[in-house]
Amino acid sequence: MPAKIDYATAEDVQLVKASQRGNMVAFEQLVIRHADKIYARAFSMVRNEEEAVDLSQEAWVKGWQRLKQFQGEASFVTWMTRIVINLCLDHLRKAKRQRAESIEHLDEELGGVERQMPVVTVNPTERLERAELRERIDKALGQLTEAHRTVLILHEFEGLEYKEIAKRMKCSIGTVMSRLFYARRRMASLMASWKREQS
Amino acid sequence: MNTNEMLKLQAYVDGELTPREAGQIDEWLARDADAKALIGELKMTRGILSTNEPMATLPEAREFHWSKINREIERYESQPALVRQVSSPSWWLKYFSPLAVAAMLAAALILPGLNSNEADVQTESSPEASPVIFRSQAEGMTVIWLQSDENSEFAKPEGDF
Repeated sequence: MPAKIDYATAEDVQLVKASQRGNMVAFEQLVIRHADKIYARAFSMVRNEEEAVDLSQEAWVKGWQRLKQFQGEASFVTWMTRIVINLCLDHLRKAKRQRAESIEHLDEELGGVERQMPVVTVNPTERLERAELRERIDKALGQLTEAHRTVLILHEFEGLEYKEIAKRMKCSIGTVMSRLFYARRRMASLMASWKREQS
Repeated sequence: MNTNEMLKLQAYVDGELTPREAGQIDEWLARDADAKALIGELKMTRGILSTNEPMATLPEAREFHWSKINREIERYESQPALVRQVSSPSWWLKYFSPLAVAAMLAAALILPGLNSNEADVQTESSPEASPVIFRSQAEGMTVIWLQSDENSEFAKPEGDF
């Protein structure tokens, strides 16, 4: 018989093992513990509270259904984050099929815009408080197209390599590279404008 | 600097180049101020973003969030095991969709042949005609034709099988 668990203090590994045996209280603890992280990733990708809540909820249900497949190669929260990312990518693909791409997006895809941006040489975020900086970064991310934002999130926040991003986004490595380049240059340009606002 | 060169600089920043390619970039950076400035910007942006990921908090009570998840899980768990497997397409699509495509292709190839045989049966069918079936395991095919007792050469396909 498995040892009694103190759910509040138990490590994720313990809670996952108990959940794999069908213990719903242990799984509830995992949800409560990581709900923000999973929601935050969904929100960063879809930029809509309601959709992000639904997608993170769907991710948790899927996580439960596939829990027996979790072998512990990565941490539980990393595994759950991959599930929510895949759901968000599917969601964005479906949404993209339902609307035409903007001219601005097409211009970016063709390249050239990013080459004309002046290079930012001074760190424009030096004087900003961390909370304010995060808030501004969030707003700047919201100004990118879905495709550029997604590549940036998967690379900078999830630490995925070009090859892995291409696989998940179902595009070529070249496309990943050009989207990432544009997204970074655009972010640098937006951050530079904060500096100009301050002075 | 062209687009490919810019993307190469980015790949250098991201550690996606081979040591040989990275060495070539090092040499290039030593003599090109523009390339050096662009590398500086890419590194700075990457550094700022990776350490300042925006945070978002679930906009509803966690207990309420859990109650919705729990309800979905209970609904899933209450389904019989077979229904659960069938409603989750990933396991069977993976294995059976290629088979389904192969079966459709085979049907598309075989059915017109069968139809023509049926036509032959209708036109040539007579008390004097009898069907002849040829099966080749090696070739993986089956040929059916009607052989007229009076004029066997008419119905028999040409060639030696």
